[in-house]
Amino acid sequence: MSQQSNEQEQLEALKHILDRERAARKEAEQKIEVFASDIYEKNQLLQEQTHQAQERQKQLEFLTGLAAETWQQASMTAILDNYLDRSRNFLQFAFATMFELKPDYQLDRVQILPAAETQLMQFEESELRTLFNHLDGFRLSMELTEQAECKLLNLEEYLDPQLGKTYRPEFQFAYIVPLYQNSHNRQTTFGLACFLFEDEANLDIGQLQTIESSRNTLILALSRKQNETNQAKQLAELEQAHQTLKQTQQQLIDSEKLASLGMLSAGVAHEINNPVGYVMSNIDTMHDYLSSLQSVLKPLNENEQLDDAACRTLMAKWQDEEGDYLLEDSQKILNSSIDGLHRIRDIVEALRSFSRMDNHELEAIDVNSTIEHALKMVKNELKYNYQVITDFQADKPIMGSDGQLQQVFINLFINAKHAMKGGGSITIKTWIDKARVKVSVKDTGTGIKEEDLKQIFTPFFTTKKQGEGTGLGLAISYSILQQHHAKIEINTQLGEGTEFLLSFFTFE
Amino acid sequence: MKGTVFNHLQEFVEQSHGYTVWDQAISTLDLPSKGIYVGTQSYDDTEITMLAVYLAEQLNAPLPDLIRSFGYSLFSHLMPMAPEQAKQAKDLRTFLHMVEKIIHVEVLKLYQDVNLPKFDYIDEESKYMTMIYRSPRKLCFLSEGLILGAADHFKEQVKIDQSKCMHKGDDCCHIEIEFL
Repeated sequence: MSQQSNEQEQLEALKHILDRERAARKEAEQKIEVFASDIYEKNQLLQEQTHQAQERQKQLEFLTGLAAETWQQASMTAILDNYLDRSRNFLQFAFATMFELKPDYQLDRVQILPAAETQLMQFEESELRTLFNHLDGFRLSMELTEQAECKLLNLEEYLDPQLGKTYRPEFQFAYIVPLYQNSHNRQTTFGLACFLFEDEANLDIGQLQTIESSRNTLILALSRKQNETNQAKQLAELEQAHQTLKQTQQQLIDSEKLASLGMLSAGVAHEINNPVGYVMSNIDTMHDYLSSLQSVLKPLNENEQLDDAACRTLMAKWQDEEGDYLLEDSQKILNSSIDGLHRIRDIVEALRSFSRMDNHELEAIDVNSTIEHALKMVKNELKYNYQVITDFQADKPIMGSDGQLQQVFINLFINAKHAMKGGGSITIKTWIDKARVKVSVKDTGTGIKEEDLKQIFTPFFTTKKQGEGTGLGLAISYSILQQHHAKIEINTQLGEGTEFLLSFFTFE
Repeated sequence: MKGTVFNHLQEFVEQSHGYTVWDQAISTLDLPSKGIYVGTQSYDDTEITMLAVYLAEQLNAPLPDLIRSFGYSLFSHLMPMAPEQAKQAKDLRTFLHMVEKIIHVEVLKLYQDVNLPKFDYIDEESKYMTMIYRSPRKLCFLSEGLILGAADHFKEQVKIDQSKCMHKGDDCCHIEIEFL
């Protein structure tokens, strides 16, 4: 009985244990079900997140790739072409187009790239052009004027009401991205990228947002490129202006030269007239002398053999006409005439070299000879009350234009004269100092006031009376010396005089 | 406490004392779980205390001895679940250090809601080591049993004693291990 009861007890216990095991198993199974469903949901979430991450990755690649390429493009057109191509590949199912919306609401410069996934969409370009022809340019233009932002258009709402009644477009949506605006006389042309979608299924708002994000980079790059183009244009204009300025400056130098020539012409004419006068008078005298000599010497021609009487008559006539004196004086007159003609030749030579306008090329010249030419031109100006002392030691040539440097020296000599109203002396020295040829032009005039010294090379600055000076002389001299890479120095002492010290490179 | 510990306690009791002992314990004690334990679930700590106290009384065995024996038996059940690195420990001492540094770390990865005991070590002499046990469950004797089970696993002889014990009013238990 006790064994039976024990067995019964054991059985009961096992039954209880079994029940509890079943309950535990059910509980475990329920938990597994919950767990499995949990895993499924998590898996779904994970897949969704992976997809999103991949999309973000694509978007990021698009944005970074586009940014990198955009800044490398050489022109605005290249930037736009690259943008259109990249966007098309990114959007996959959209036709990428670009056009300008003109102030007359017409579309211009239409560009079309088919969708990257072309097998899915078979549209002829002409169909797209038909679509653009039906687009309500007025409405689009008004909206963009109000706010030039990206827009997703339901195309049915944007067909021209005049034209669009029967036309049904092949595309349902257009995403418009305003990229640039050109305004002229309050009329605006919009440069727009336009992505066309067949239907809603191909629209991905995330992708469109990415396209929108890329817009700022594009706008910035386009405006920078535009600035670059403008700058290049301005630079070319500046270069042109600089060229014109150089030509004008040259013309100014030439006119100043003509003005000096005008001012000096009376003196130069006098310098020529003077020897002409005495050479002519010499020729008159020679004419008389020749008549006298002819009267004495004529019998020699008539009688082939002179007898004593004839010789005596001839001698008497020789004595009468002062034959010896005539011969002696003729020599002097001829020498004087030759001298006069040399003077004329020299001054004509100086005038010729000074007045040459065509040749501004630098060549190897002897500065001493240039100074001498210049002195000849102003000789008449300095004839009375002025002493000219020269000491030419420089024995190396310089690179220069003889005519232009004459202009500089004439200017310095005339200025020196004006600084010495009652007369004085001009000392002109040239010498070699290392690799330079130095020229000093020193007067004993009034000197230059400090305040005037600051402006001495300023164009139109003059201390002379109205009508006496142009105020361009020293300014032009300064510009000529700059072209010669010469330095100019002024040493002045009020009441004692002024020295202009010029320094040229020697030409080896 | 995880259900797996209760399940093993059940096995331990059934094998050493028979089905009726366990069934009586569950039937007598009014446990919130009604004695239905799923291995991976957590159950109230008081259930294990109630079961241990009841079983000690029923079997007329001192409570520490009962818990220690259970711990010894539990080790062979837990060891297969240990991380690979712990399984390949070269000796007992190395393994015991891994309890805190590796095993508990891995357990926490699987079950964020477990209340694991905290172990600190005093290991300055070759023959001795102290494991300082801290847990509100005060199951230091279970740890002793587990250490003995581990010693057996690594075929080492140890002697275990506690110089401090929370059951004696200390704030932690110092389990002194002597390597023989």
